[in-house]
Amino acid sequence: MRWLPFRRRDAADRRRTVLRGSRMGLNEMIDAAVNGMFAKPVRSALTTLGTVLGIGSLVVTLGIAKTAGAQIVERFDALAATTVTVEPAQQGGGGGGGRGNRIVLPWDVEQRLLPLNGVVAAGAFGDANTGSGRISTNAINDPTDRAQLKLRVVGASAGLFAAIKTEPVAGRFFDGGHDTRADRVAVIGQGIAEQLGIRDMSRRPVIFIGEEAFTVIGIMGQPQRESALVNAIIVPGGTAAARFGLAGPTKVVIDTEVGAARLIADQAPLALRPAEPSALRATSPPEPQSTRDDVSNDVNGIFVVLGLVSLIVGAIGIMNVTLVTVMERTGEIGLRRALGARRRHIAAQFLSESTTLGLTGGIAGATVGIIVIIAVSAARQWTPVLDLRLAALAPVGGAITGLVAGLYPAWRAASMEPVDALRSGM
Amino acid sequence: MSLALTDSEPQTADNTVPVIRMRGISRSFGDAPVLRDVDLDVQPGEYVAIVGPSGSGKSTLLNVLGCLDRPTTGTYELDGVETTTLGERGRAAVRGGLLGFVFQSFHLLSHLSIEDNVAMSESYRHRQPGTQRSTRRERAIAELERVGLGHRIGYKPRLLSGGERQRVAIARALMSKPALLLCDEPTGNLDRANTAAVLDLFDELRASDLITIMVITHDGSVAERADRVIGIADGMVSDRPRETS
Repeated sequence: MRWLPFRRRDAADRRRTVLRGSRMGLNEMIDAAVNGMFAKPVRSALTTLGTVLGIGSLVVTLGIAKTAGAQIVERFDALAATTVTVEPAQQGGGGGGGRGNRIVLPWDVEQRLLPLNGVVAAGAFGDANTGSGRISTNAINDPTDRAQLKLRVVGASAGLFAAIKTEPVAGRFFDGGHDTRADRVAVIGQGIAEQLGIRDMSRRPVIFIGEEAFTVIGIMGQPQRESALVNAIIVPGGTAAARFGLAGPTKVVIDTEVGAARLIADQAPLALRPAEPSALRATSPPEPQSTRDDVSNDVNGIFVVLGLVSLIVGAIGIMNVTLVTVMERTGEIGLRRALGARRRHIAAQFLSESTTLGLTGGIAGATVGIIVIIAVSAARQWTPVLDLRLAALAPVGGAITGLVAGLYPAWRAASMEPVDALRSGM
Repeated sequence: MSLALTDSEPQTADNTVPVIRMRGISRSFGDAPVLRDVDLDVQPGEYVAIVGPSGSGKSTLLNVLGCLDRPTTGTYELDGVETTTLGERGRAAVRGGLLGFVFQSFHLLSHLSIEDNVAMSESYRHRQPGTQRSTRRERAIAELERVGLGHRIGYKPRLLSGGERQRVAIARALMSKPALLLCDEPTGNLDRANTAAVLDLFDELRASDLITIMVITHDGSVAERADRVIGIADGMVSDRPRETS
């Protein structure tokens, strides 16, 4: 038997191999996963569609929510971040309609504040006490007249309209001259004008506040600040002082440049009351970041739930298809077991396949999601806002979805006896 | 690791270790016995044909021989390794390291090229650290050239004839340098010419690698070329005398 030495050497090699046991490396696992995925590429693509939609929905909803939230806050901030109000530090410290309160705010706020760097406009106002005087468009006091209203009358400095960001929808606003002369002119809000039936300024309409006649010179649009003033009759401060005994304003509104609000809030009390700035309290806008976060969180909460539902649907899709694949590839499972694969190797193969499907779906979903966010933002002329962590985590989320979805099919595949699996053929 | 070599390796008169040494092997499914008290010794390099009617227990014997199934009782040493005491891990290692399988329906993965099909059998074996994927592929190509399919490298199985597919399956079985090649009706789907080609290949393998080959067959021409023919009936195994022409 001249072949014996070779035969014995081969046998020893084989036994050593057997003693080391069977193994499956990472390369083999990746090969098996990629080969399995490309064995039926159309099916794999359709399977990943669920994850693409799920991850894509999550990315789009979170991205759009963040973008829209930022847009909302940006618009809100633009107004809020430039508004400073100044009021007496203690209640009752204003004019209060001349009821003997200590006067702390001056009328000439424009002269005092406009020189400050960063102030765009400033104005002051205070509620006038008109007693029981009703507002009407004729001089006869008729209690049955539905046009007789009990309305708020406000004395204001001429700069108030610019400070509260409003425009006349008809006529004009009063100016410093009206104020100085204490002219009996009034500016009314749009709603009040409709109630009183006043439309045409060319006819110089007149309203009566109690028994005092005032010429309406303008109708005011909705102000962006102090929106309640749209329901007030605004007369010059000097007029309010002369006719209704308004001793001084109770509030100053300042429109500032973006970023100057904090500084102006510090400086305004000193400019308005140099001798006693502590008698005034200036209010600057809230931190915009917290407002932005609140809005974003509210919007995100709704859409994240929708995205998660999509993702669960995608996971169920992967699980179903992987389960069908396991059944179809029973013969392959038997072959692999015959070639030395252990149960764990079979489980790892199907888990890596489903994870690869999920990962691919996650990458595609994140890509689609980002494209959609950019497209929507471009169409709406928004600035796209996307958390980069989201773009990085989306594929990981897809992979985890695939991994979880593959657990049951992988267990089923690993549970097959090699004899039974081989018997099913290929 | 529960693998262990037998304490004293039984040897034949010419000092060789039997590749197969079965003693008292039985296999029952429920109360129905399929194999009964099988004793079997097969020497290295032998070509053994197993014949018998359908339902006689041929496939069950092959499954036990291939460590795909566990016997109910008895001992089975394969190339000196006692297999009946092995756990799942050990039996998988035996299948991957000592055995090669050739099936009637080829069992080739249609989405892989033939060299990838052949290289796949190396996926579960321990290799020397640093063994490259390209090395496996080179070995797979060498095995394919050895079975006469060097000109088909890169082909998918569906593009090959039945005889060529079976040669791919044989190349895959040879990758692990098995001690025992187990063939279940290897020529069942082949015509006469391809059957002859496969049997010639078996003869070459025995001559060059001294591989032990066991074939389940209904084909008289396959059994005719075997060193031994083992008959199986009602789960009982017996040597059949060779017909002399």
